[in-house]
Amino acid sequence: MELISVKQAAEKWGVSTRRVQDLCKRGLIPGAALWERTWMLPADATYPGKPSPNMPMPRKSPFLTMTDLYTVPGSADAVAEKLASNPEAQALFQAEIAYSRGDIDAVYEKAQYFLSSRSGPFAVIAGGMLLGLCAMWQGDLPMYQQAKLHICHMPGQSEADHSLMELSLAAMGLSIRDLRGFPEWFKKGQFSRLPVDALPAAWVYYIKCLTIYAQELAMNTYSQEGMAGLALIKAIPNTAEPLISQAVAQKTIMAELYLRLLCAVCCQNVGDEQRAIHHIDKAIALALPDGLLGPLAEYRRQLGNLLDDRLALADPEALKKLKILHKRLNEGWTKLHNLVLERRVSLALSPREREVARLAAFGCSDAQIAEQLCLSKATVKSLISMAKNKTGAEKRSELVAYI
Amino acid sequence: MEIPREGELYKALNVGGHNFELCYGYYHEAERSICPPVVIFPDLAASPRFTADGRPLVTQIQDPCPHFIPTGEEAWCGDCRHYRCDQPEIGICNCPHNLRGGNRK
Repeated sequence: MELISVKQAAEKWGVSTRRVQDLCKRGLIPGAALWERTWMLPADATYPGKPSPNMPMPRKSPFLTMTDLYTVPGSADAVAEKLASNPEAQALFQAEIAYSRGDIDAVYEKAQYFLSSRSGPFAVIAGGMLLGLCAMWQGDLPMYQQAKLHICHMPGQSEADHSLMELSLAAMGLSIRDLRGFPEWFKKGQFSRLPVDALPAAWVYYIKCLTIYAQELAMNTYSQEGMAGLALIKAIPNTAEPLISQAVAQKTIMAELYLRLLCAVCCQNVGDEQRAIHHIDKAIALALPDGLLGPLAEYRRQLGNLLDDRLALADPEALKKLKILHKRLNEGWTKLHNLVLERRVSLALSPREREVARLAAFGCSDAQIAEQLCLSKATVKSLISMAKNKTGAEKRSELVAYI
Repeated sequence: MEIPREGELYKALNVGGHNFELCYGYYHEAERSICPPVVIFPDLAASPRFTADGRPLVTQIQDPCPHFIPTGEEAWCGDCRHYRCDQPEIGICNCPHNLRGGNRK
């Protein structure tokens, strides 16, 4: 029987030598054997799970769950089954669903698969994005940096591939509220550079970027910037409505889910509770059939009791699972956010303490805060004292670093 | 962070020989619908407590007396030079004008 070396197999299959060695060690290549500390493989051995070189991704987007592949709530596993003839697409879809279900260990495993795959730009982006999401949940800065580097070194780029790469890098930053690095074309809404299949994902990132930008502006309530921020927050749901309609028409349910959560956040920020509840209920209806609690966990802190109350009505067991997922995400997210942006956001502050701390940090007196939030002065003083005691801030202005 | 429930204990303190239990609650019933419960500080102005040597106990957020000497930004007893505490929430006022038997106001 003719034998080939690890290097020859790697060149033949278009993968790294480390990948081949790993497969040999795991016994996934029949006939492979160790000869004096060197793996030798049968010349006719095939790469396990390698897609046919002529098999493209089913959609021109690394964000498969945000395309019209996944159009019916409750059909995620069935869609994954149908992708069996394209193992790479199946692995990517399953990884994205695993993330949305909060199964970060499964996501990490799939990320490793894509990181060592060299089958195309989507695989590279997918590996990087999946690793970046794992880093966010685990608060792991080196992993986050590795993920970004991996995407940056994407080979063989067309203009569309390059735009996808830029979008993916920006989206990774967006996940930890880092608005640096968004390409100019994206800020101007010039999405024609992207493949059509990637548009639903682009809409989500666009609205998310706007929301975070507006919230940062609105932090300083009694300034012109603050007023502008509040006005922008108020306008975002109207901006997002046509995109939601598009997502509904195209049945891209993951895009619709995220857009509705973002709209709910904006409505809640400006006190429009009814409209926020409307969007939350729609989001829950999209998420529950496939147990997609990950997106709900991402926005639980911003939606607070509203989301908890609505989910308790729909599925109390899901609410219990959501609280566990959210605790894990919150710890990892806060750690990574603080490391990347050199901040000291504190998990110890309650939403009200954070809100009062924000107003106090930007110079509002107790009386002004009490008037704005319709609270008594005693309550405001209690909240400020708790915020300062928990964070160790000696001055009100120092509180801004912790919120 | 999980939202605390009304009546839940925030912290138990012993200050100047007096035991305090700070719990979550509401300063006004009307706030029940718009705010989760907050830490309720005891009203030591209305019900004063003293150490064995006659120094008054005060809370961090209590309105200061005319002898207030600010050390921070807040117009509270907690930011007065005379405020002494192991835990920030309740402390002892070391101001000689406020010893028991004197007129605090």
